[in-house]
Order: sequence, then structure tokens, then C-alpha cells
Amino acid sequence: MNGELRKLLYIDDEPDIREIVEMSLGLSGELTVKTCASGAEALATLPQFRPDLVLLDVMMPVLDGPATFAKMREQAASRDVPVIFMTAKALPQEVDRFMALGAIGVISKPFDPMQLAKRVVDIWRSSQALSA
Amino acid sequence: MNAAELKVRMGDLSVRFLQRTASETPLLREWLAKVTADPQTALKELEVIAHRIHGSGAMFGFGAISDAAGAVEKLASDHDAINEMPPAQYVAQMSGLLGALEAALSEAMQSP
Repeated sequence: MNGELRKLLYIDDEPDIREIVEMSLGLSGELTVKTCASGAEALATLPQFRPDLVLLDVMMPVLDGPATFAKMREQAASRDVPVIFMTAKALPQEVDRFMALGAIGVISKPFDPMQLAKRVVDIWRSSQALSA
Repeated sequence: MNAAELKVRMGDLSVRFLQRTASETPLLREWLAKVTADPQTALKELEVIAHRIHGSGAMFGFGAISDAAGAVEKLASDHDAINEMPPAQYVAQMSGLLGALEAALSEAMQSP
């Protein structure tokens, strides 16, 4: 991690949620946000965009969140990019599973659009502090 | 964009969500009609569409729609029910859940 959160990639197959997340994170005024509609699109975008953080929906067709995360770990350009999962299925055992995969956090859906940026930054900073 | 503009946009998106859901509920019925002939495909489609409505419904504050879609999603992904329940019973149960979703949607669309 480079210590600064400037660029974030959001991956979700639902266009309305992508728009909400992009607007919500834009409220911070400090983040450059790009969205992708699928894991495959994200894997193609990651080498060029080089985000500081990826926000990744869990349930997506074809390549779901965990599968996309696994593919990210296979690519040099995205191997070390921290990931926060977003899911409606945020049961404790599911959260534990996502964290065991290597995510730095899990955000439940629905989320408060007015608070999303703060939540993301808080998770990011906690992760930074742990790895320092 | 500021917070006020975000709220306005959320309102626009919620209207669009209701319209899109109204176009998707017939699709759910179509896939249910195919459950006996092609259960794997039909149930996956039911699950995916219902999941989308479940998630977006909650985001836009349509709790009844979200809950109803969540029940459809849960039954569509319940492998025990799929394997153990007589097909006619499963279809009837799913049809009832789709009816609840349609009712919740109808009520939401009629609300100011």
C-alpha cells in the first residue's frame, strides 16, 4: 500500500448501485472513482487504472466477488491491491470467510450513501495501521 | 455533487427501480414456468433476478419489495427444497412468493 487513498475501483453488476456508490464516494471530494460492471471488466481495467483500493460486490454473474478477488491475486498489477467486499449476505460466518480470503473489510448492503465514504476510509486507515 | 443533489438523484433512481422491477416480475414468472423442464437454468435466473431486486429494493427503502424478493432468492437457491420437495409443491410455493413480490411492487407504485 502506498499510504494514500486516492483512486478507488468499484465492481458491481447492478448499474443503480454503481451510480449510488460513485456519487456517495464523490461526496468526499478526495477520491477518484471508477466503476466496472463485472469481474472480467475489472481485471482488464486494473492494470491501467491502478487503484489504491477495490470495492467488490460479492454476488455477480459469471465471475463472482471471491472469484474476481482470486484472479486479482494472480495478476502482478493487482496482487497487492486491498479489497473491501460489499454484500447483502453479511452473516458473521460470511464476513469471516471474506476476511480469511484476505479482504481488509466487509461492508453490508444496504448502506447509507451519506456515510459510505467515511466507512471506506475508516476501513482503509485501520488496515494501514495494522500493516505499518 | 453534494449531499442534497445525491438525495435528489436517489429519488430519481428509486422511480427507475420500480419501473425496472415491474418489467422484471413477468420474467420471474416466465422462468418459473420453465423450472420443471430446465430447473438448473431457471432457478439460477430466478435467483439472480431476485437477488438484484432484493439488494436494490433495500437500497431505495422499499423494504417490502426487498423482503419479498429475498424470499424468492432464498427458495431459488435452497437446494434441499429443490431436491426434496415435489415439483408441483415447489412451483406452487414459488408462485406464492412471486405473488407477494408483485403485491409489494403494486403497493409501492401506487404510493405517492
